Amino acid sequence: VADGARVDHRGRYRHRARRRSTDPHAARHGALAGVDARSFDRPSRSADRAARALATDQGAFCSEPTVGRVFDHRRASLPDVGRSPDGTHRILDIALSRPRSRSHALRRHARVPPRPQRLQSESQHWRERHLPGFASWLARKIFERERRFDEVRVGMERGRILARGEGFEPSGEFDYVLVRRRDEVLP
Amino acid sequence: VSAGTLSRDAATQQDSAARGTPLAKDPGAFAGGTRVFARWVAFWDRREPATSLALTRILVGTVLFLDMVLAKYKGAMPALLSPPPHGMGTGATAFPEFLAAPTAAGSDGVAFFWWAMVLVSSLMFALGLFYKASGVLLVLVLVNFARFDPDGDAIDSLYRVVVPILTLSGAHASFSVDAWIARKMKKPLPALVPAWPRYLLVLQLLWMYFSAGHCRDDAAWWPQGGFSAIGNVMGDPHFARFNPGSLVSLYPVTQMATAISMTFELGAPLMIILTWLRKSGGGRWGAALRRWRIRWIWLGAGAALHLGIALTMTLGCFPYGVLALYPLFLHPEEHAQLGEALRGRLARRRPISNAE
Repeated sequence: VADGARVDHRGRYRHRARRRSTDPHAARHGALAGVDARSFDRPSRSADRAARALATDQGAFCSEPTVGRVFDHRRASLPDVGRSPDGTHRILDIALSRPRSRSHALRRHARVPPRPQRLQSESQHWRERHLPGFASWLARKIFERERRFDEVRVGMERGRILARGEGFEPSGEFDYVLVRRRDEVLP
Repeated sequence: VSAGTLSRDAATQQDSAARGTPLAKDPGAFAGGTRVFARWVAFWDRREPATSLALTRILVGTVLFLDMVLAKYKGAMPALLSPPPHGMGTGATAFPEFLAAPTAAGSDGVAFFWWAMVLVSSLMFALGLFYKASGVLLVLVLVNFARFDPDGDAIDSLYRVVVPILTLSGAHASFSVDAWIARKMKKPLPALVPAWPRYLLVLQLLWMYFSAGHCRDDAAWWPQGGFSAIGNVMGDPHFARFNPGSLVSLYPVTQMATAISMTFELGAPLMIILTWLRKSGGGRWGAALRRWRIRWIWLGAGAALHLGIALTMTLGCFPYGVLALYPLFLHPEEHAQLGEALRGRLARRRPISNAE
């Protein structure tokens, strides 16, 4: 976990969220929110890095492009797990959508030439088709709840699943970053 | 083919096929083919009590209903159905076109309309209230969900197959408001309903499992990858319910679970034979399969697989949605036997508690 955030027994980042939520005047002084959505690769399939699903540590928000679980309104505030590499953005721990897992997909590589295969990549399809709308929707939700933020950046963080079930290693590097400002997504 | 050969009375058909109808005895060139065709028709025209289909109807409707309630609670509907910039939908028109479709501007009301349609129709579907009408309505809504949000989860695709078939079935003949009303009106629904929807859905489920198994090209699912797939999922913060790395001591268990899952899924076609030999037949091999309860072991492995997914992964309603279809695997008489066994066990407990 980046930035030493305290994690309770359910993997939630409690004390930071509560402390920040008690200080509404700290808001709106240009604070920016970097929204963390991590893509990952597995040890055995590093070539898949950009084509794999995206995720974060489980936490306040969880969404996927289907009818199902998405948002948990019970949390008081958004958990903060660190800062972006340039130090300008806070990284919020929000699990974003996942494209379908390639391990469940048909064996496309065996049936189509490489170039169409790349074009048909599930995650690329998802990024182009759904990520912009999803970023706007997520930003809207964050702006509604967190008045201190004027801008939200939604990106996919590269990460790595460790071998033998030893966990997950985030990299802090973000791809496909989309910027949403408050006046763009809220009427 | 005579009208008698294609009669909807399965018993008559089977008897005539077995005795050899005049057509079947016809020494013409097509006699063999006709006999096979008659048996084929007789097989798909079998009748049985509606228990399996009715339980499935209730569970499927309930899963869809609760999923909608959760989607509303979590504020998901506008995001799922609305097109960009505010959502992830496609912006496609509705079917039929005079119905409203979510648009980029002000879609929340339309999304709520479609959400309410699923909520109401799935509840009516589960209750068996105006069953055929509610089934058609639910199919219509699911078709439109596919237009607005075609990249839904696997369970959405599966239910787009299941719900129309259930709607065509006689699943409302038991445990339904329709059946209750019909009894009150002295016009009870038939005790036996066509079994073909159950057969068709079982085949669909078996194909789902088998295709899921043989399409897994990631080595992690196979011996050469050390059966590490489920262990990897446990380390994937998006899928894992528990903190990644917190179950590292259970890694060998996840390897075993991966191997069992693959065996279960790749063994799905065998379930056709196991079901066929459920009561008799198959000679010594059939007797061994029954004695070792292989069919029940397969079903238990499937239930454990989905319960394990529900316990350890965050995959939405997928595990519950598939488990809702498991009553289809049992013949209605097996449901009756299970019910009797349960009642017997409860009855045996009661005197003991009284004595205490």
